[in-house]
Amino acid sequence: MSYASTAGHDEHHDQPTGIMRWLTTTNHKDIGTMYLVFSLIMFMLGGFMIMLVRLELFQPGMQLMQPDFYNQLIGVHALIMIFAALMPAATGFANWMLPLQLGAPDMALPRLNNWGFWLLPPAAILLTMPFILAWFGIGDGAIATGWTFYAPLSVQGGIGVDFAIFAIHILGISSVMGSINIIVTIFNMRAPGMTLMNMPMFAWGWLITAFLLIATIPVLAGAVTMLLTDRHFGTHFFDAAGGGDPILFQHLFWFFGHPEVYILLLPVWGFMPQILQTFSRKPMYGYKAQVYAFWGIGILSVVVWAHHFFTAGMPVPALIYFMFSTMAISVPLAVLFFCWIATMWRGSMTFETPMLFAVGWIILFGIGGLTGLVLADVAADAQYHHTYFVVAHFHYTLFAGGIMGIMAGVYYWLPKMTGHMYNERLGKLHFWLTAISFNMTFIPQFFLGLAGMPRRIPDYALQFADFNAVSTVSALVLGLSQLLFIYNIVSCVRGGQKATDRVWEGAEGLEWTLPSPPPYHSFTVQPVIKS
Amino acid sequence: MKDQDRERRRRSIRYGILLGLLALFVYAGSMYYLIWLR
Repeated sequence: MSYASTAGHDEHHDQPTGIMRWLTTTNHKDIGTMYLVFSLIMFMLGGFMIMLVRLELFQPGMQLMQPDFYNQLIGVHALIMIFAALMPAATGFANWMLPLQLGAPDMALPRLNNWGFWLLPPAAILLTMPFILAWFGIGDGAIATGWTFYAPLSVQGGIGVDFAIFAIHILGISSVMGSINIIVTIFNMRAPGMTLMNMPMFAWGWLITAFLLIATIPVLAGAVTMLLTDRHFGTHFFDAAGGGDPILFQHLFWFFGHPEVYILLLPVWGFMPQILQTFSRKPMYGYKAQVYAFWGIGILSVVVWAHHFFTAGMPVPALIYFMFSTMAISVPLAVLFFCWIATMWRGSMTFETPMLFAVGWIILFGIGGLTGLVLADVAADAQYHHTYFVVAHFHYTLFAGGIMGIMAGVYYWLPKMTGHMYNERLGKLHFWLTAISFNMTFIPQFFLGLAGMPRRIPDYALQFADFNAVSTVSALVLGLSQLLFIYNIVSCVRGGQKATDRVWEGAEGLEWTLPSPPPYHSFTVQPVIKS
Repeated sequence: MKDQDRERRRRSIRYGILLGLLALFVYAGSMYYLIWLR
């Protein structure tokens, strides 16, 4: 593919300055930056909460906190990491990179874009405010049901549940608005000559993610609205005492919750092949196969939800259906793994920080996928359900598969965004510390789960003490090593070696035809793609 | 070019409204179905 590009002018018209610039901006790069900064702040906050949890679990017995506060920390940690760290990070990349990759001047609906971002901070405040209110004697703290809101606990819980329901509504509206914007941008703003089947893979990842969000977030919103009416307006949808069905809530929650896993991962699957091809210096392997695999996973993801609660009780045919449909996901996922590895095969590879994260991501996310296959087995799940095996599995999926992928993206695009190279030596140190301490944190949790340690309990039997001590020390190292990441980003934004336009020798795509950093208004005249 | 931009903007807004209605339909439809189910 070749292209003739025209970088736009860099006038700011009557752009306000200071705080008003950020409050009123409709520029996709400004909004992308805000999403990414917000995500980083929330990542550190969610990480801090789980450091406290790990400290409590350092030894058996109760050391630091009451069990109810422990429950609040794990629930809010998960909600923050999923809704306020991972999702906004992917949306931040979409804002920054989709218009640049598609040759568009901006996102299709810029005002909606601004609104979508500014709904996030109030939602984050709502999630965390009950902690502060409890200090002043108001309420009994944040939501203590875990991130899943299971009834009847959530029907009976304190004001933290109401705050979380409101936060989920706002976050959901923000996500749906972001999704609408992304779909419209991909359908309507591509450069002339760029067909759907030759647009960048990142756009494909986000297109399917956005459709999944529109199909499932409103169902979650409906479920928590009904939970709200159960709590305050006399309905009994999920209250068995009034003829309701608590299991119905689990069905509704996971109808959203399972596609949510792919919502978090698909954007990463989108840009990761681009990183692999850049540092392998050869074309991406199996573009079409990857697109079809994305569709296959997207469709399968909405028909497998009940594998999250096999043990809650359901008819045997349903168990068998959900087991096999879940296992079927491994087929398109294996296609993706094959394509990622084949992209590197016989490439002229170098291992700069983004590539280190990308290769580490393939291996660790692979472990997450394989342990998911174990949990999909109904008989095995009867033993592993609600144990630390599940905790380790989904951290391999969401931390290694999601957050480490996002980190690869940050290192890959940071020189393009800021115009400066980051500190490579520090980046590599950050990778190795993260990868080693991550494994040291969660491999022991697989063994704890296999030995029967239940999750979401602040105390445990003496036999689990050693593995928990190792896990806690490693988790602290994992948390502290993220300070290197922040230092590297901040110093890269403030200065450093000047980045070239193309940044990476093997980089392909429209974003690399623009200067680093790109002008405030890019592609005011659309580039023409010549296939 | 400007005409093309105007046309593209209109199309963006049209797509946006349609997708917004789809999201509202899923929200209202799922609750209606569940209330009817009960």
